[in-house]
Amino acid sequence: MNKLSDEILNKYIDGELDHASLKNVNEVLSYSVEDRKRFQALKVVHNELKKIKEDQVTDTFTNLVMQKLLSRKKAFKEQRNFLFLILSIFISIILVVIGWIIYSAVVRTGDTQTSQTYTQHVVPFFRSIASVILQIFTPKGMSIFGSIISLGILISGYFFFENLRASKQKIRNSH
Amino acid sequence: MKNLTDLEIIASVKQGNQSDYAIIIDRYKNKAFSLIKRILKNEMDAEEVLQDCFLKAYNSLSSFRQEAKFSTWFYRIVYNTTMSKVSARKRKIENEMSSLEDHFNLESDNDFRIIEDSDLSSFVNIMLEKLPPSYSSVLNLFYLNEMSCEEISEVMNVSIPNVKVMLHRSRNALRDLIVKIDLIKEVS
Repeated sequence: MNKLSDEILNKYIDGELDHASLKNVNEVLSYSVEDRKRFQALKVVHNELKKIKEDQVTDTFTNLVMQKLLSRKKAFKEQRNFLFLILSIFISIILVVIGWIIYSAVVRTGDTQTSQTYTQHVVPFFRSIASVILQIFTPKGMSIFGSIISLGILISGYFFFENLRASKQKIRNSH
Repeated sequence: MKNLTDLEIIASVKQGNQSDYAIIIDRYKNKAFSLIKRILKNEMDAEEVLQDCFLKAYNSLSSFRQEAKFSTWFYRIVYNTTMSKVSARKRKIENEMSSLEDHFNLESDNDFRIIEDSDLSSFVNIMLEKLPPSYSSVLNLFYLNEMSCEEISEVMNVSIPNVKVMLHRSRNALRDLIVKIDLIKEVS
């Protein structure tokens, strides 16, 4: 009959027993043939497991990973540049619209200008800006403005996804 | 350069020396590969997963807190990515509790045919691959990567007692098998 449990034997091998338990296990092992046999077998397994060797990856592995890293970095840079370009185009469009509003307002103010005082210059100017902006928010203005924005989003979206696809393809081809 | 610690290399990579990451790859590739291969039981898949692990680790370097050991952090990525792959293949995944309750049988007829022509070392290696993923991972991390039970529990996200239970059960299963087929004679 086994006097020592598997748990005790495993702890003994791992050096996890306290002094008293260790003494007790040594004593049992000295007279119990059955326990000693189980312990020796476990020790053999432990020693064999210590000898397991690591498997080797292919020789080109490190280069492959580094290439992939570089490709990803490059693709990320390209995407960032593309997004920056799209953003720049949108900002330019917005600036053009604002410029047009200001220009229209200046033209109108110039037409109606009769007084030379500062208040009479500024107030009509801002009124003109407000009226041009209000023109955009009329049903006709909204539909034109919305169409321009939608077209812009569609075109940039198309090129963005094309860019993404090309980057992924490039990464795949590099391996 | 190769004598630098992991943390020094990581610091250098973070400063923009991307090529230093190759040292980390060389340092861990074979041991991590052994772990993945024993779980996936397929060399090609293992190498593919290992590539993903290194890329994931590189992209997450900013989230690596230097007070932890890089190896523990990295092997956690390796273990989780590999288990996700296992899951994607729709293999049976054992969670912490069920893996402890499950039985694994190393004594199939097929195994015994292999054993007849093999020595003890080859036999242990063959049997390691027959163990369920969590058990072979524990043995791999404990013996090949020389990790403590505490580190393994961090990597596998299981409690320390459960790591010990898996370690003991794996050893016991291997022992019972070699006793049963008399391979023990070679050593005693």
